[in-house]
Order: sequence, then structure tokens, then C-alpha cells
Amino acid sequence: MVALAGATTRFSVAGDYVRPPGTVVEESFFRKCIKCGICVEVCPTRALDFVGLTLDVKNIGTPKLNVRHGGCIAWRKECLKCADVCPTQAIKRPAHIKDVRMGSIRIREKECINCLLCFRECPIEGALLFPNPHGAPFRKTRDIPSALSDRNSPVKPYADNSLCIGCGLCAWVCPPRCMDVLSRDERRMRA
Amino acid sequence: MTLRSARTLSRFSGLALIAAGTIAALSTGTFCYWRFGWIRLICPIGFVEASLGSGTIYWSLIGPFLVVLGLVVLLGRAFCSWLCPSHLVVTHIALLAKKVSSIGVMKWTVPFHARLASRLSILDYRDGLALLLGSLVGIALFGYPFLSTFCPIGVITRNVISLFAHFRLGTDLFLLLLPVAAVYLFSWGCIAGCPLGSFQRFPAKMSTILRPVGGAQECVNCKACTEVCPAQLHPGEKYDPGACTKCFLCVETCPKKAIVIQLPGHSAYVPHDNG
Repeated sequence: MVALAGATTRFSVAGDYVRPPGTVVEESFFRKCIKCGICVEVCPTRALDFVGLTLDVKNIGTPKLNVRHGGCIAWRKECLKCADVCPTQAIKRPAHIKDVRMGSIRIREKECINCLLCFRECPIEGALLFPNPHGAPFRKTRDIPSALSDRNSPVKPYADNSLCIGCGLCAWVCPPRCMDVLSRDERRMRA
Repeated sequence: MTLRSARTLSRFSGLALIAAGTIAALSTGTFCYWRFGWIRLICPIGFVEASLGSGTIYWSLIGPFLVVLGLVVLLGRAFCSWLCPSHLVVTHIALLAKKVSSIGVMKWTVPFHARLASRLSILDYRDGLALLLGSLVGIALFGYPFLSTFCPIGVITRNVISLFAHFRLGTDLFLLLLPVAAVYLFSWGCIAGCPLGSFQRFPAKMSTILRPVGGAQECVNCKACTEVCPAQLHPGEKYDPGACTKCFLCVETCPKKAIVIQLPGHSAYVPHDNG
């Protein structure tokens, strides 16, 4: 059993997951999480899901954000229920939600249909931007001229990943599903 | 209500509570961590694992851990036969597999299975304990809660949550094949293999109430109770209360109705009196 525990640690493929808000760093998350599933049980938006059977044995059964089921609403209103119920403090309630990042967003522009639903869902003003040929990029849907936000328009929204917190609400509502939430680690690697 | 239906109802009620908690998005908890208001119960293995894995002591969990130990001292291993979802799921899959393997084209597996099972019959709870201790050393060395990934109770719990939250089951259900194989090959695999059961054995030794007591004059020593008992105990003789899971199969089975359930003090509950 010792060898098996060692082998699963050593040969685990490092996966990449968007964790709930307030999780400790990825390197110590899998050490603390006992996969009890109570965070997934309480999540009011059902955004949390389990990591399934993968070669990343260490992380099987740990929670991750799944934008097919929902996005995190913690920046919109008081929530963080996952942090409150976690028995082993793998998810900790942060002092200020504004300082917390879950990840970042990437838009596959070719598939974007300019519906701008993501603008309506985004809890952080300025995280999603729309190019303005005559000045500073648009931050609000109502400022964007309808000529530019046409379906076949050459300009598409883009994300300011210094502000984006990776809640995944935009990706959840996106009709063509052209938005990917990237994990914190990926964000760090790209930075 | 018969003991049998009470047991089944009790086993399903644990899963039903998780399902209800998931539907209402309440934090009623899971088999790993129950949470009703200020009442907290933690899986003892989970607590030890998390402490060893992260190298910190969770002071907030010591209370719930002690409460669980107290419950085991008081009620013995009643969890195993009255709540454990693994018993409900794994044992039934294994029984089904046994039925399938004895019909038609699968007949060739029967002698093979019998040979393997007779070899495995030397396994007992000490092997489960070795499994647990080995895993704990592994957890301490490599620093992550290794058992919680594979624990069939955890896998079932997570899939119940997944089913009621997202209406689908997870691929980690395949991890159940491990305990199913254990129960299939070795009919009481959960007695010998389960780390949680092996762990409970020691505090449960002190449990004296609610255990079957036999040896009345009616006993004809037919050994029907020993045959049906998951741990092959004979309630008529002195036995280890740490091995008894208080399933009361012996009480139901005894043809002479000579086994009663020990209540606190010297009184005893005789389940056959009311009809």
C-alpha cells in the first residue's frame, strides 16, 4: 500500500483545474482535500463538479469548476458556502473576495457571434472589453454601437485578464460555448 | 417492521439525506463529514488522512472525531450494517456477479472462483488493518489523502451528489470494481478488507449494549447463526464485540429464537415476542 500511495503520487499526470474561490495553492490543495464532496453539495449554482477518473490519480474526486453547469456567483453576492463548509480548510474563506482569483478567460474569437451575453453576466466591470476604433475600449453593452456588434463583425469582445477573476459566468451563458476558463496555474504560466 | 426492512430503510436513509441535501443545496453533509447545524461528524479515517497528508492538526475537527469515536464505543460497528452505502451497493453488485457467473457460458468461472476463494479465506481483519496502516504510512510519506480517492463509501457519496446536482454519474464509479472484486472473491470481503471497519474494531470492543446474546436453553447448537453471521461469530459463546457489526442476522435466522438483543442494564429486547 505504501508503494501504491507512492506510485499514484509519483506517476500522477498533473492535471489543470479551475478550483472554487479561496482554495489554497494547487500544490497543497490535494494534500488537504479529503474528497468528501460537501462543497459540491452546497454550491447553489451547481457550478462545482468532481474531477472524474483520470490519470491524475491524486485529484480524482476533488472539486473543480464546470462551466457547463454554472459559474461562481461569489463576486456578485454573498456566497462562499463551499469555503464555509470545507472541513479541512482546503477551501478557506478569504478576507476580501476582491483579492481572490479563480482563473482567467480566453475567448475563441472565430466562434464568437457577438451576442454580448457575457457582458451582461460579468460581475467585474472592465474585465470584458469591446474594441473601440475611436478611443478607449467599451466597457458596457449600452455603449457599443450596434453596427460594431453585428454577428459577422470583424471586432469581437476580448478579456482583460488582469481584472478577470475566472468565475466562469460568461462561459456558462455563452451560446456558442467559445469561452474557456483557464486555471490559476495556467494564468501564472502565461504571465 | 421486521429487522430486515428496518436495516434496508436505515441504509437508504443515509443516501436519501445526501440526496435531499444536494437538491436543496443545504450543507447536511456526506458520509465523510456530516454537518447539521452545530453537530459535526467526521470520518475518522478522513481526519487521520487529512492530518497526516497536510502535516497539520485540524483542531476544529478533533471534537467531531472524538464524538465519532464515542459513538463507536457506544454503538459498536453498527455503521457497517445500518448505514454503510458500500454494503448496499457493492455487496449487491457482487451478488449479482455471482449469479451471472453461475449460469450458461460463464459456468467455467465457478471452479476458478472457488479455488481462489478458498485460498483467500485465510484473510481476516488483520489484513484490513495492514492495508490501513500501509496506506497511512504511504499518506504520511507522500503527503496526500490516498484512501479517500478509492474509498467506496466516498465514491458512492460523490456519485449520489453528482447524480442529484448534475443528473449524471461520474467515471470514478469504476473505482468500485476494486471492492466489488474483493467481495465477489471473498464473500465477506468488507470484513477483511475495509480500512474503516478495521479501524472501528478497536473502539467497538468496548461496546456492550445492543449486541446479540444467545445461549438460552432453547439453543440446539445448529450453528445457523454462525453461518449467516458476516464475521462467523456464535452469539451463544463469548465473542469479540469488535467483530460484531450488529446486523442482527443471527437474531432473525435462529430457528429456535434463542438469540436476544442486549439492551443497557440487564434487560433484553426479544424481537419475536410481538409476533
